[in-house]
Amino acid sequence: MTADAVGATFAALADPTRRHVIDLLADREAVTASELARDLPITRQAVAKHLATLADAGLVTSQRSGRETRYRLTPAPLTDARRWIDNVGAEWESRLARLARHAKRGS
Amino acid sequence: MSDSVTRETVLDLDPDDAWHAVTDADQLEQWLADEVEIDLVEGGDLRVRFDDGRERHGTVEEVAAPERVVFRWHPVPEVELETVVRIELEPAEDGTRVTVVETGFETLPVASTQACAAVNAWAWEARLDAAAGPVMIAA
Repeated sequence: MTADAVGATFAALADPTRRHVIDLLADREAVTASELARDLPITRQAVAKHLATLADAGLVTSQRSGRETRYRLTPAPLTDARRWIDNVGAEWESRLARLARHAKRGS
Repeated sequence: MSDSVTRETVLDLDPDDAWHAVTDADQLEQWLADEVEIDLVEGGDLRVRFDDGRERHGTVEEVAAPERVVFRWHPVPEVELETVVRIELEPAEDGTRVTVVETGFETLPVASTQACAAVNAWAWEARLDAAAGPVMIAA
C-alpha cells in the first residue's frame, strides 16, 4: 500500500465523526444515511458528506436499491493502514543497516 | 501493535563520529533519506526527502551531544499527526550503540478507532486467511 493511500485513510479517520460512523458501520450489515443520522448528532446531509469522504478513501461502499442507498464498511484500508504502522520497525531496521554499513572507522 | 518501535545497531565508530553520523545532514543522506536538511538546535527544522518523491517535515526537540538527539516528524503525508524519534548513543564494547525509539503511533487514528476490534471480529467471521492473522488491536 502506498503512503498516499495510507495518508488518505488516516485523513479520512482523523475526523472524530467519521471514526464514529466507521464504528457504527462496523456493527451493522448495510445502512442508509438516514439510519446513521439517527445515531449521530448531525443531519442526514452531513452524514452523507462524511460517507462520501469515507468512500473516497475506500473505507465504505454504497449500493443503490430502489430509492435507497445502503452503505457498508470495507475494512481493507484499515488493515492496510495498520500494517503500514507495523512496517515502521522494518524501515528503521533497513535504515540502521545502511548506517552500520556506511559508518566504519577510517572511512 | 505496540505504541513504540525500538531498533538498535552497533557502529564501528567512536561516540563523536557516531554523533556526526546521526546528526550531520550529509551523513544522514547516507542512510536516513536521499535529501536531508537539519537545523541542529532545539526547535530547528528537519526536512527529509526520498527519491520516490515522499517528503517528511519535522522539528528537532532535543540536542544532547554526543548522547541523544530527538525530533518529531510527520510520518504520513498530509496528516496532522506526529511521532517522536529518539536516537540514543552509548559506548559499546566494539564501537557505539545506536538505539532508535519511535513513539506516538497511538495518536494515529487507526490505533484509536473502535472499528479495529470490529474488524478483527469481521475478519474472524469471514474466515480470512488465518496466516494474515488479526492485524488490528483496539487501543
